[in-house]
Amino acid sequence: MALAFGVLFVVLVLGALAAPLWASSVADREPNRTNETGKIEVDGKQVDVVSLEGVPIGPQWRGEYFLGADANGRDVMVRLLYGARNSLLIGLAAALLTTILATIVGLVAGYFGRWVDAVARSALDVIWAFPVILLGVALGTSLAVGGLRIGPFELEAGSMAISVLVIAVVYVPYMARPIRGEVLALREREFVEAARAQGVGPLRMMAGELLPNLTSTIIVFAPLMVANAVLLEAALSFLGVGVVPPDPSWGNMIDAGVDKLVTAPHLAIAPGLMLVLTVLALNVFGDGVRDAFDPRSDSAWGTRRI
Amino acid sequence: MTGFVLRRLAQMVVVLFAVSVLTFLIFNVIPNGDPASRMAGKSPTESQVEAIRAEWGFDESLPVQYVKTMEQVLGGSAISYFTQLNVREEIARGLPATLSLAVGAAILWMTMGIALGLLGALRAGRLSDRLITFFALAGVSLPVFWLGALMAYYLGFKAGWFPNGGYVPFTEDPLDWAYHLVLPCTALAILFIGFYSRVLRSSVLDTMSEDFVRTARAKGLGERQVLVRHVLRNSMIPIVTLWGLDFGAVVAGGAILTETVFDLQGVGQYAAESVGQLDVPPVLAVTLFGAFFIVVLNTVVDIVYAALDPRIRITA
Amino acid sequence: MSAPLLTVSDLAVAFEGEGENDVTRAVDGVSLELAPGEILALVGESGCGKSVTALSLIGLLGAANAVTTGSARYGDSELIGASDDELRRLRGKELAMVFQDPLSSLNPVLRVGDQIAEQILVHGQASRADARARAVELLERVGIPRPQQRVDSYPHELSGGMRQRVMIAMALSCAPRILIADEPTTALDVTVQAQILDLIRELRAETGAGVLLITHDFGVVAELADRIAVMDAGRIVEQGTVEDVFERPQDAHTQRLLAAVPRLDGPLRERPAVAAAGDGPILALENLAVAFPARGRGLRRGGPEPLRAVDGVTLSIDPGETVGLVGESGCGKSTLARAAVRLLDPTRGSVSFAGRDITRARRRELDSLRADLQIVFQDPYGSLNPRKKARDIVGLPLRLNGVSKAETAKRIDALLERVGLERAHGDRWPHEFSGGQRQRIGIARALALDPRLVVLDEPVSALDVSVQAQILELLDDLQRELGLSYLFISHDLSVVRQVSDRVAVMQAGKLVEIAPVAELYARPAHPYTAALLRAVPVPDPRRRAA
Repeated sequence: MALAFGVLFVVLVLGALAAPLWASSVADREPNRTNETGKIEVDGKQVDVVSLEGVPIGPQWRGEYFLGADANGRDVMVRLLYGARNSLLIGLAAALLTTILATIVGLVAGYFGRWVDAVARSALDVIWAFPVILLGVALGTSLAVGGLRIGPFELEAGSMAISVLVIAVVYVPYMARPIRGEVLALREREFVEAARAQGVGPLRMMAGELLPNLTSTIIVFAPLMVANAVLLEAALSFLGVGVVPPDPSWGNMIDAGVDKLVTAPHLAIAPGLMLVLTVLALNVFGDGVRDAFDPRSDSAWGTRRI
Repeated sequence: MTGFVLRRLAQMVVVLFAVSVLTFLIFNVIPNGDPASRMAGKSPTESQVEAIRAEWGFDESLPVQYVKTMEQVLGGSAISYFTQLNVREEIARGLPATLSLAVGAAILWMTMGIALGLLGALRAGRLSDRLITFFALAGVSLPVFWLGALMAYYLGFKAGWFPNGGYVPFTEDPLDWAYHLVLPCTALAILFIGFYSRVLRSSVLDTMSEDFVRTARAKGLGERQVLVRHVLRNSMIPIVTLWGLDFGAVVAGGAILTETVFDLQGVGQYAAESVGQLDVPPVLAVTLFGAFFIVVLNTVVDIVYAALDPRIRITA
Repeated sequence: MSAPLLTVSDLAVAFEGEGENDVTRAVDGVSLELAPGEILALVGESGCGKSVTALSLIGLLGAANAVTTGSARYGDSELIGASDDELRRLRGKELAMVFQDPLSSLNPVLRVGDQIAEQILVHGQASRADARARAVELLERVGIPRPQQRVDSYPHELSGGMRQRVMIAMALSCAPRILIADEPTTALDVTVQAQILDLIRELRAETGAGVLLITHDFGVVAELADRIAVMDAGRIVEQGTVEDVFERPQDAHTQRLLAAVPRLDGPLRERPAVAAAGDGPILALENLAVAFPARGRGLRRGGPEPLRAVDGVTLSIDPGETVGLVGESGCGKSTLARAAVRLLDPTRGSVSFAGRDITRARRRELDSLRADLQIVFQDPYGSLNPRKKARDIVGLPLRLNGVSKAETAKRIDALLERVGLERAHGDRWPHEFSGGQRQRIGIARALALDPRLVVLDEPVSALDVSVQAQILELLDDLQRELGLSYLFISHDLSVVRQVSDRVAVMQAGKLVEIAPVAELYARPAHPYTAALLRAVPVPDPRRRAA
């Protein structure tokens, strides 16, 4: 059952990738090109895409303006798919970066212990002290105008890389802590001592002996990290410090749509629904993955073996 | 126990310092460009920018900058150059709303989360458990800003069952205060109910498979007695720490989205509006105070945890 | 002849798996009787179904997929299939149970007095005020010093032996007619074990309760039991009085088990001829000390005392010799083992290998040493990386030392065969092997670089007695063939006697005695050694105490 949701997620990803295809062949609309004054044919009549009072047309359920238009006359479906690309791209990239960073930090802190661990733990605690959204917002705000500069490393303001970096850093403690915990537990196991008795050095120990035993933890956390990253990206975009308009992201589409809930509810509902479905798919899939790897836990989905 | 408390307090002070340094770095060091003009607002004059530079110490060395920044924010003299309002006062103004939201949501999510988690654990594997798990997962998948907006619109504006936003101070009208909080607290709680019910379910199931539960049964205790006296007490322990973390996070500005959507004029919304303007001082202040609050609250929670679980006192 | 307390007929427990035909018969038709005041031992190796039998009697299996059939009559009640309410009335009051691991079997966040009192209160045996007084009485009866204070302790504040006494106190609190003890002393040191066995004997005499004792240790059985039932693969293969079964075992399985049990009065080994004698010891420890900084309450001036795990040990091993090292848990023998192979840094003293001082050797120097000095660990489940195939585990030391892939592959095959496994086993994962097979892999790994000395840290303690005998035989063969020297560490005095040439005894970090094996066991010089030897349960019912 969880597998079904995993498949759903893959479908969504494929759909996102196919965005340009849809845009060009089916809808014949570009995501960012406004069309306030355009008209289309509905039931044989010419209708304003955006009415004089500023109300855009609703879902047409056919090629052009499949889900209607937004206040600027842009095709919602097209923007939805392009937004999917952005949101998913940022989410996946951030989750990947988090995983890599958290694994390194967790391994190094757990294996070397003592002062290395104390430093790493304090750093994690400090990041942990900030609520996720607040830290994301803080970082997003401060980097929004001029971009990032640490020594020679520079990132332009408003670039998606900044979003990826912000989200990735914020979630590192979430993943680093359990990994560190695993490493600490593994370190006490005799096979680690045995490896040391063979003369295995620290690098080989971490990569060759410990890392293979961490894969199940990492795999279990991965879908959840992607889900969290996608949600955080949406929240940041909603607040204005994620993907900057006119580029679409589900978050900033909801932001624009919330203002028009009265007249054009489809503007907020469509991206929100997509967001919920994606995150739900990831969460259910992640839950299934976790149950598969931990046969002890009484699964809600029934006991299944992989 | 006193040794533990003292040690923990010492740790707390260190973390507070580190937090303040990190906040400082985030806002004043890593971004590119001139911090003074960033703070100054939309179209500042040259002299305004200079004044800001002097006040915050941007011309001087980093340690001096740090001290001046802390003075400004913690000393209460920092103002927003956009709104010209004192930041600390604005935060204090928004605090009651934020606290009301946090406490209301916390009560709701704890009771519902524990109830559903327990139910799921007791009926593990059966249909009711699957349903609960599914709804829990749905709960954590709903973006609170979207859910809140929809709730405000459909249940508030359209159906008229609830007010669709705004905050009424308790001192003004307790009933209206509560009435205005129903939707926002529910929206915020749904996310946490989903999370907590799963954590508790997992914790209860783990505890039930422990040896001492078998011993309790061997002593002749009935299932309900085993549950209440042994299982619940032990499986609640991780929930306590989590609750501390989450409650702190919500008060510290984690409710930024809910407050914005429901127009509660709390601390979070203040931060959100400032974010939209890229107005730095308020965001800096909220971040700093928020993180401080969390660190202090976590220390208190840790101490309570040690009181509950005697094993902790030795190892920490 | 009084009526039996408990009559079990044709008890069977089956666990249903996923598929239709996936059924595991853990208990397959067990019948036995327990008379009042009798101690019946249910013996067998791991997996034979003895624990499942005991747990199923009072409905504590706790597995949803268990199907229990048959009958267990206690007085007028039928235990199998009884309702929860009926069982609840009987549990703790008429039939009480003591479990193996007292640390995990007691609730860590409740005081022990409260946990004892709970059982009394649940069965309505006393008022709240009286229950506490009763708890103190019980703690005193089971031999816990200062019971007035101890009654408020938490489980983790007590030693293993004291915790087990608390469990026994709890079990006795409502004067049960039957006590079921599931491996009650397995997790305890030998001297503490002796005390607990004495306690059980006394209590049996006092209360006239019947005891169903589950164990794998034939020494314990000989010391304590009146009758014995031997189990194998879910069935009872032999039953009778302890004297009969020990002296005239009828069943082949029983005979095999009894033959494999190492005995304090068994034969001593013949020391193998040594190739290069007279070259001086291969391993010499001189005044070795290993201290760990204690976990700080750092604010106090002067700091707390460091933990002296090894406190001035002088020991040497000659080429081709096996030196046994015995001691109870916490005496420092494992720390000594690790210091000897330089997995730990000594704080004082010296370690010399083949005349070379390696006390302060750094990693580079130690790498060349690895070939000669190896170690085999205790836990077959933990000492192999679960994510590596057997051949990779065995081959790692070879690869690290620059042996080519082709040569490594050949040597791995040879090693696997040498330890009694097959080449095909190299491609399997650790969890696919039994405990004994995993130990063989550990031994193969240690032999990969042709060492001269192998430190064996409790190499057979986690194995069943029949497997244990096989591994010991393998170690002996290897020693004769390859001219190895061994440092054999164990808490099991009978095993050490069987394999060693000389034996050293450790207590609290110090070496209290070292002597040739025959002398040590026959005429121990140090009182601690004597106490240890007295405490060892002898698998001969004629020689038991009391």
